[in-house]
Amino acid sequence: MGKMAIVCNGAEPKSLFPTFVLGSSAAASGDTVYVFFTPGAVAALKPGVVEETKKKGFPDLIEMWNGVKALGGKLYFCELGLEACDVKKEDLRDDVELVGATTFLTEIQGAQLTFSF
Amino acid sequence: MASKTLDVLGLKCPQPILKMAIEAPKLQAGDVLEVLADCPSFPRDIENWCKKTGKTLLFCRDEGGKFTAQVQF
Repeated sequence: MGKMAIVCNGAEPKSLFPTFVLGSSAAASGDTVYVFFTPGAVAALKPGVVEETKKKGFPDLIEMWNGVKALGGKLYFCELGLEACDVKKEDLRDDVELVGATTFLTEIQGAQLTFSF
Repeated sequence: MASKTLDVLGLKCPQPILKMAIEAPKLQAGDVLEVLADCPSFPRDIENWCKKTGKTLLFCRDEGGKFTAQVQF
């Protein structure tokens, strides 16, 4: 199976929903999905925000988020974002891993599909 | 060989396929999963999911916008 890499740049529905509609679809089809949240998406990573984010006509974001995780997807937050956004690791939901750009780039080597939202 | 039914009526893309994928590890080769869905994209999605994951789509029947599909694992 393949690899899909998604860079998510915002905490608004227009960034989050495409990330998780495509990410969860790919994960469901057996691809390994890597989502890299840049500092612009930090507000979405505070505890409870994903659960409360809804958009008319779309499935619940948390269900797609949990689906990506259950199917082995990786959810990463850019390490630079901590200082840039003045947040600590403890301020973020605990199912997001902090990584540097090099780690992300190494892991997505060979990805057949890449997106940025 | 066992069979199981998954009711995803009312759920929208990509949830029906996502729920199937989460169910998949519980099934063994030869098992049949019956899926009830009403998402309009479901027939094409399940066809493509089966192709990509190597499962056999036995049928996907349209009963006035409600779909019944069977997949053999």
